[in-house]
Amino acid sequence: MAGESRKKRRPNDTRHNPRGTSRSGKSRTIKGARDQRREQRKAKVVPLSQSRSGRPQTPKKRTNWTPSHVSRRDSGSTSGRTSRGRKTFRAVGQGRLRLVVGAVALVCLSLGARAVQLSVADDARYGTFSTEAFASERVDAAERVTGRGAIVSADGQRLAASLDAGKVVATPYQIEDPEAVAKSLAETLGDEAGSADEIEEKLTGAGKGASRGYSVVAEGVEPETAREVTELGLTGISVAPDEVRAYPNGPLASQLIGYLGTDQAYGGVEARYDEVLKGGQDVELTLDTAVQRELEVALNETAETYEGKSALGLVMRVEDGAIVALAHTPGYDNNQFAEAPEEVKRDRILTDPYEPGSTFKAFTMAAALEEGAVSEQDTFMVADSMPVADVVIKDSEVHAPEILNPAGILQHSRNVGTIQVAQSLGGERLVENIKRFGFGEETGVDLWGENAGIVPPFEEWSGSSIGNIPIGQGLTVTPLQLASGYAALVNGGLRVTPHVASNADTGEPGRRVMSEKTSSIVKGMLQTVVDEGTGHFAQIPGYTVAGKTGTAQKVDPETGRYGDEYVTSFIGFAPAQDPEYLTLIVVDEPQKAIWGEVVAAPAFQNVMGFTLGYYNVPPDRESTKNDAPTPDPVLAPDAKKEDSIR
Amino acid sequence: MDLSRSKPIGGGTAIGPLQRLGAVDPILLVTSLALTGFGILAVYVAGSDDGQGYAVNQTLGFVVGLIGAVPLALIDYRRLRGYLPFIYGLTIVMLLAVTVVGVSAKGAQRWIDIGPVQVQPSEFAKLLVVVVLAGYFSEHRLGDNTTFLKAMGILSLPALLVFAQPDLGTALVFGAVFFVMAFVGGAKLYQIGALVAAAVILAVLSVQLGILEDYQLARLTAFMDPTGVTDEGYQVFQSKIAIGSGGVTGKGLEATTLANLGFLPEDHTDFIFSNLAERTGFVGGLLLLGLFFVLVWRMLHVATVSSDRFGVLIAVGIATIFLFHVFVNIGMTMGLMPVTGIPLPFISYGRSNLVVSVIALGLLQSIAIRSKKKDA
Repeated sequence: MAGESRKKRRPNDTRHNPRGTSRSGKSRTIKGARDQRREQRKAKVVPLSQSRSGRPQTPKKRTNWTPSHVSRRDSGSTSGRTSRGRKTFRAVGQGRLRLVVGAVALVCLSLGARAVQLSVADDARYGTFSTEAFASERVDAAERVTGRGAIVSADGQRLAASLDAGKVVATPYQIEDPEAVAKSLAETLGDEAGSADEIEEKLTGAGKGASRGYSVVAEGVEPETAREVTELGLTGISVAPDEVRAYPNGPLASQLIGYLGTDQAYGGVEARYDEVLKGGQDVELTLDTAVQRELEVALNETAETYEGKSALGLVMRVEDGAIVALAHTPGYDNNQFAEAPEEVKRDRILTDPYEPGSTFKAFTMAAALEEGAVSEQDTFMVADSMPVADVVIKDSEVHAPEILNPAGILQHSRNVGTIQVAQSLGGERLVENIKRFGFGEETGVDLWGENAGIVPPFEEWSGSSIGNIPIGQGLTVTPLQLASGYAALVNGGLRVTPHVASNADTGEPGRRVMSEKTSSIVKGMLQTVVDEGTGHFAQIPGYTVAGKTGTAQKVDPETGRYGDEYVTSFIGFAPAQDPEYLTLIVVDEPQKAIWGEVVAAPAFQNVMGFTLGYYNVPPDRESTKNDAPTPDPVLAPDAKKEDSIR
Repeated sequence: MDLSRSKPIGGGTAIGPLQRLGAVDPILLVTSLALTGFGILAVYVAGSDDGQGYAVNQTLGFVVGLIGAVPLALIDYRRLRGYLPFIYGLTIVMLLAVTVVGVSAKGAQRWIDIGPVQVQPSEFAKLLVVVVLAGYFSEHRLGDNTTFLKAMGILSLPALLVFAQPDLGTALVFGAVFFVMAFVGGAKLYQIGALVAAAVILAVLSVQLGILEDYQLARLTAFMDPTGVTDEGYQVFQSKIAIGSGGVTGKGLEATTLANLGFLPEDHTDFIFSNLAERTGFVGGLLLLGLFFVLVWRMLHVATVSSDRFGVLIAVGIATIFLFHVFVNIGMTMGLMPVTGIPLPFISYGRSNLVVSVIALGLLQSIAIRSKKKDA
């Protein structure tokens, strides 16, 4: 009955009537009406609940969704005063509720359909296979490996290479006595292919990833063994040519090389140059295994000595951005890819941006010089703290106000002085210059998974931004961006595209980002950092060395605030005025000391010294002048308590 | 019949707490528990080496949620109507607190520190606003233009506060909630039409006048860039590769995936669906979608059997929150929707969201317990 009357009314009146007013909607509920309504409701309770219980309901009846029973507590103002009004409101609400249910179904269907499209239909495009096409796709995958090119270092070492092997394949439905066949295969193949029982499972098509028509018994079987299997002459068993991807240098440069799995390449050169390698061509790298080894040893020692969570570094040719060495520690071995913990497999030098800290001050200085905001001879009265908007910026040590020129500011890595320089330049021009060096955008390196970092646009700066961005906080860069920026800073002012393949497409030749003059001034300043300032542990006998230390507080991922952990780095280059190579060392969360000159500079000295000698870079200084100093590994245990940044 | 009338539903004297708990909607209960379990497993697997910590935290979030949800299910939800101004005030105060003492991360100020934990008030605000709106709609005639506009006013304040954090995704949830609640609540169609038109104009204006940040705009449009040239497109591109490469049965829970190699961004929060789909394949993804469908369908079922308008509208509002989250989040991972960074309920790592989800389920059970079918 309710359904019928609603049907009749619907075309005329689509609004609900919660106040229980007449259809004109003008009058308001009054107390008397409420009482009356309550009476009506009481009277209706029994028949309505009856109709709703006991037997299956037709949808129409179920649509009756006003209270059949309303608690006495309920103010009672929720539903219509008259049964007419209430029905109208029910009709609207219920009809619409059904539409919503329909919309939900539609939404879920569309998501489901998309999932089908991505995982089944477009599956091949994304590099794996659906079960229907299992056998044929599997063969494709095998062909894909065949003849894959090698990855070769600049000094001719094969870093990744495909070796001949065989693959034992079964056609389960042809095999009459799986148990016997499994037994003889197990004897021939030895332990690595698994026990007879395991093989038998594959032969019956019951094992994981097997089907009745095609089942892989063993992959990467040595050629000799493969021949023996063929000689067994078993029905339903065949041997297909296969290749094994081997990484002859083990853990060397593992993240940079990347890994070739059964169906796809993961990371590094393997992934980035997948097409080239698949085509059978070798990829020759600018990476040199000798420098790479030196770097990895130095990083391991540093991380161990200072109990760092990890360390990373690279050696780059400043002229064109060619990467000579690039390493992360802890590393892993691509030959045992599956066993390695996941976080060590990433090329963090290009995937993980961080706040660079004081190493970034050189860019602030270069920008101010380039724009003419300051000159080499200017002097600043530098206190050890200064208010900027709502924060107070402090230097890393307490000192009396001192008169410093720009070189002196860099030498002592003064936060306050750097900000004074930045203030005379202005934030807007600073950001322009920072971006010109390539920060905030990808470098275009020919490796997989690069991150662009974040340079806050000037419009988004807060009042205190001028107090942190010039000193390398409040923006993020990848270590690779930092190195590329320095390359431009010290090679005379030309942008480089970092790359690992010797014939990489590096785009147009370097855009000029600053004048040669500014580059030369900055190099001079950075040399005084090493000769006289915070960087003296980086000195290399026989060479002029320039560089910059950095210690940046890390943002604690739990709290989103600066915490107790630090990233410590040193970036430097040599020879100071006409550099050929630069080296960056970054140590993540060192525990025993935090300052860049103590933690990272010695590793730099090691690697850079080796590199200069290895490439026969002529010494440009009397080696007697500087006997390379070495720091006490556990210097300044209280240093971590300092809040400020150097 | 006499018996049924003698039971004062929600009155609390005749029925003990245990009987009342026995009257919960079993399907809703089982589905939400299954999703919670799925979620804990998901963050455990997705977090690889950090997974254990994530799983423990997520379990804690569930327990905290239960502490709120069980009493809420037992108390008559209709009592909430007496506290609507207080609830609304609390919502606004929480959101204001974020702007004053909030903690920033990733360029947005969304969290406040409460002792050792961080709370994301916007997550709670969604649920509280649903309750407030349901209360308002159930006592006022939505067909009136004044009422409609007042309701919009009630919604706009918290929505704008959330938008300013900035958290565009959550602000959009408020919009969706209002739209569906007003629709079911009986707003006139021309009012709904005007709302849609206003939303479109607002969207166009915000692009034209640059109210949206560049990155927000980039994210909103990136899903139309399938090649992944832009940063944002890259995320979606990687996500689609992850889902696609999972195939029908997935690569396995222990497998080395694109996600744990770092190619998949936010792999245990916003993009956790891609991570799961890569590991468990189409089958796993569909199972999850199925669970969500049952969940939302059951929420709407609670709406249809609810004994009063307040309950109907709360249930519809909550269902909308969940549906919007599921659709926008999963849609985003498959390149159907823009990247707005709203979590997948029960599954994404994040305690505030889980606590609120569990509490919302408790509220729905309170409605289910007192639904009219129990009256028979």
